Amino acid sequence: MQDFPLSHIRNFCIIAHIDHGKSTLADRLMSMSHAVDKRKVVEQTMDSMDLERERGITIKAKAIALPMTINGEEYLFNLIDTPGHVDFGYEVSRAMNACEGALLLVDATQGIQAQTVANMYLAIGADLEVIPVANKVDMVAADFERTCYELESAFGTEPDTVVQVSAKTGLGVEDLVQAIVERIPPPVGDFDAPLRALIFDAVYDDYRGVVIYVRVREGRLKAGDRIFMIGTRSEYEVLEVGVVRMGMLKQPELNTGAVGYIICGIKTVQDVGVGDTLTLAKHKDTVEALPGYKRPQPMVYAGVYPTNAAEFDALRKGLQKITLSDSSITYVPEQSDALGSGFRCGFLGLLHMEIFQERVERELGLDLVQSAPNVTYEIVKSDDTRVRISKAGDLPDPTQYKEILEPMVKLSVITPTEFIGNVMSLSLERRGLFMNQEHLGKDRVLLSFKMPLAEVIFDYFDKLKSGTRGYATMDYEPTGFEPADLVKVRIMIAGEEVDALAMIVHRQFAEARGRNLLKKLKEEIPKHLFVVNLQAAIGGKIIASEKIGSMGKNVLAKCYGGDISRKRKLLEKQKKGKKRMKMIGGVEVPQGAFLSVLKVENT
Amino acid sequence: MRPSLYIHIPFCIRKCEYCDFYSGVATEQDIDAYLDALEREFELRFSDRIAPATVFIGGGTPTRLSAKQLARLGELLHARVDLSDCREFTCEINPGTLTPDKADALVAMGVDRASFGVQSFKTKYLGGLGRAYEAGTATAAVEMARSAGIRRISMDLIFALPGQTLQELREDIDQALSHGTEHLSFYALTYEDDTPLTRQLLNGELQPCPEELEREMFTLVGDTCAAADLQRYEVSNFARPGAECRHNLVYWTLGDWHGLGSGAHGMIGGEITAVAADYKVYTRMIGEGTLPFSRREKLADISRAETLLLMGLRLTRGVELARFEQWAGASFATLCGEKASALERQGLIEISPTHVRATPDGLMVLDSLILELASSLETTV
Repeated sequence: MQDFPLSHIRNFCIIAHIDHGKSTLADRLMSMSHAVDKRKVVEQTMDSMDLERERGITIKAKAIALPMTINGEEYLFNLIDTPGHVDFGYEVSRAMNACEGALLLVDATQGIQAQTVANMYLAIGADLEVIPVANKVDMVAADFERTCYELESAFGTEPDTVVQVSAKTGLGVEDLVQAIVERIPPPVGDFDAPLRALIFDAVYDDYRGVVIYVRVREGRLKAGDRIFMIGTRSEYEVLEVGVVRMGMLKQPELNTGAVGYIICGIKTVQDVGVGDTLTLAKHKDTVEALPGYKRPQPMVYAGVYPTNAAEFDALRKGLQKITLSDSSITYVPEQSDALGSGFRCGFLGLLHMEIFQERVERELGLDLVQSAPNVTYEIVKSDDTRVRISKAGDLPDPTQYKEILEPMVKLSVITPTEFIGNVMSLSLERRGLFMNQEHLGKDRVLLSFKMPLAEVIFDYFDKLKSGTRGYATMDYEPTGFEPADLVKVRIMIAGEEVDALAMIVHRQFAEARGRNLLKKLKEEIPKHLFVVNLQAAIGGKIIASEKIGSMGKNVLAKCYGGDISRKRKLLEKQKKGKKRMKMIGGVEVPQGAFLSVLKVENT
Repeated sequence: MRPSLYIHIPFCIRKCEYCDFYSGVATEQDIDAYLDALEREFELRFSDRIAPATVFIGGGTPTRLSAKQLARLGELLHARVDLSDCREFTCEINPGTLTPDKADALVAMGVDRASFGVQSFKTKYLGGLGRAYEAGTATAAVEMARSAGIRRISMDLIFALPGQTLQELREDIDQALSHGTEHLSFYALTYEDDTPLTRQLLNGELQPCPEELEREMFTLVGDTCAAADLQRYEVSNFARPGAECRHNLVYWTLGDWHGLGSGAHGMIGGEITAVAADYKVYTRMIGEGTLPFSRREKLADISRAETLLLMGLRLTRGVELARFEQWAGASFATLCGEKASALERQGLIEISPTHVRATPDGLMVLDSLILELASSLETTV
């Protein structure tokens, strides 16, 4: 592929809500690139995982190089794909840092959504030139005026800057291409400076190992170079560099301003830090890293157990495989009284967790039991050291720490105005702090709250959907940890504490949630020959209790000579059933009881 | 002790709504052929006459047989069975099917105890149970049996019927006691799988008796019978002192008995036998000279000890520890001690030097209690 001068390169991404047409627009741009064989543009090349395509989201950002002939001149468009959800906010921001511009794609039949807003903020934060694009303008339901009004309300967008397209029919796409050339600035940088390249993604390929996506900021990069990753302090030899078109296209060199891939024999994406800076090994002590690199921290944890205990090993191998391509999942073995052997897995957010679960079931064919998710907490110990804990059972006695902090998020909700009251009361009930309200046109509103992540993952989304007849959309971005009056609710069955059922909740909800859990437990534990006490406690103080009354009557009315065989058979069966029970404080607890209490509520 | 004898008559006029016994509505020819087969079974199984300690003819409905057929049954029994030393000879009687002729035939057979399947004295419940007779029929039948010369009378009644009140039960008990019976069996209604009654229950067509009411009824039956000097001696059985059903005590103490006729179970020396339940299969195979056992299972000693708990704890006098130890090979205290102590502390069982028995509270949850003991037996053996 020919070299393009910096002035003829445009690096950009597309920001869009699910189903607003991101992939269709990407396909449309590819079909306009003269280098792409049009017959092959059948599949949406950008989304390589089945699952991503199915869910209409992109998990891993990738980049595609599109040579274009515009106004008789040769341009190179590097279209960088970004994950659509702020669970992947860090990755999104890294991908955006590889660009100079972004297309803000809004479905004109739907208007802007919470996700659009969250990603827009990231784009603004990355200092990108944003081109607002109204898609699906050919459809009867499209309301271009309204879309412009919403964009103006939400972001102060000038209506005359909004480009109208139909990615599906191609309508207006020529105008868009012109706008990209005219409005998105070309990359800048010094070809002769020491290499600095931003790693904005890394994916695992079964045949080639880890493929690292980079944006070269300064200098140049070629096969055979000794490179150094500043953040992870590791050195490799580059085996291949190239750009992605319909497939990977090997190149002699990646120059300043270029977006492309490198391969250097790395076996797992865990070894590559997204956001890290590449330089040449010889410059490793002199070159300064590009700003913003960090390791993403899991925000949400859940216990993951094989339904069939014999599949523990298979699950372990599966997790190894999945983390080859998704370095943001963490897992450590966990032994639960209730659920047996499994793993405590950390995820970037709720969606990330769902994707993980589906991948496990689909790619590994394993049935999983997953406990209700919880967030990570930060404990400030008496000596001022800080530790993070990922489950309630790990929370030490209150005398052992000074303070407990929980992760907070900025929550954005877009809802029809008629449901403002519902959204407000729901959010305030969930310890939300109202921050802002912006009208998007006459009948929709964007509400922002500061809210503990724990409340968001508890059941906020379900409640939001039911409180707005399904119309509201939400998104959130982490804003750091804050102290809160959190307590550990201990659960006791017949006086014996059950670690697996402990939970960390805000003091104001402790009683209600403790009671709720006991109620569920009561339904699941069969009557015994004695009264079974169920208790929830904070420290030594009982905050809720339930009793399972003793068995009233259980005796065969008739049992004569002819009934012996049948009764013996029944007894054998009952003895087997009894062995499958989990004994806690002399109480037989069916496995199903833990499941129904711990599992993620069906939505 | 000499083995007892149970004879099964698998025929009914109609099938009751709560019944899961194998019984059929048969022709007269079927019954005649069955009696032939029964005689042949005696010949095939016993080379000599047997001299049972007790005899029990059950069903089905033994009195579904005609007077003539009952006489025939009596003849074949007398030919094969020495009743000179028989201490009790019971026949089950469906009140709606008894006639003076049949009562005479039973007496001629040697029957000295009649067990009437009354179920309820109230017509509205009889219909629901599928019993094919009117409420007054039971009274008449009891008098008929008495005048034929059957001295010992027992009645079976069912309680915890859907919709039944405590008052209605009280009336049923009083009426049963007013006949001067020496023995009553009071069964809580059981919803057996694959019965019309259970289907109604599952379809929501009837409201089962609430558990709390059932407990009250269980206690009411015991108290009322006790006031009339009929003591509870088994979960569902009440008798004047000395009038307990000796035959059934053989079952509950895991004694020996032969079971003949289709569907009959027997136990000799810890070996369980069961005869094919389908009377047509039974009749045909016997005709071919083959004994149609559907099951022969020799219980291991420990299983025999466990089964003794299973059956014997139903008796208010409990299980004789020496008998348990003889089969279990170790004492009850050794094998079940820890669990037994816990149950004793809960007031569900009592252990004396010679017996372990369920308390009145324990009897009400006996099946769970037995499961506890059986499980602890399993872990220690």
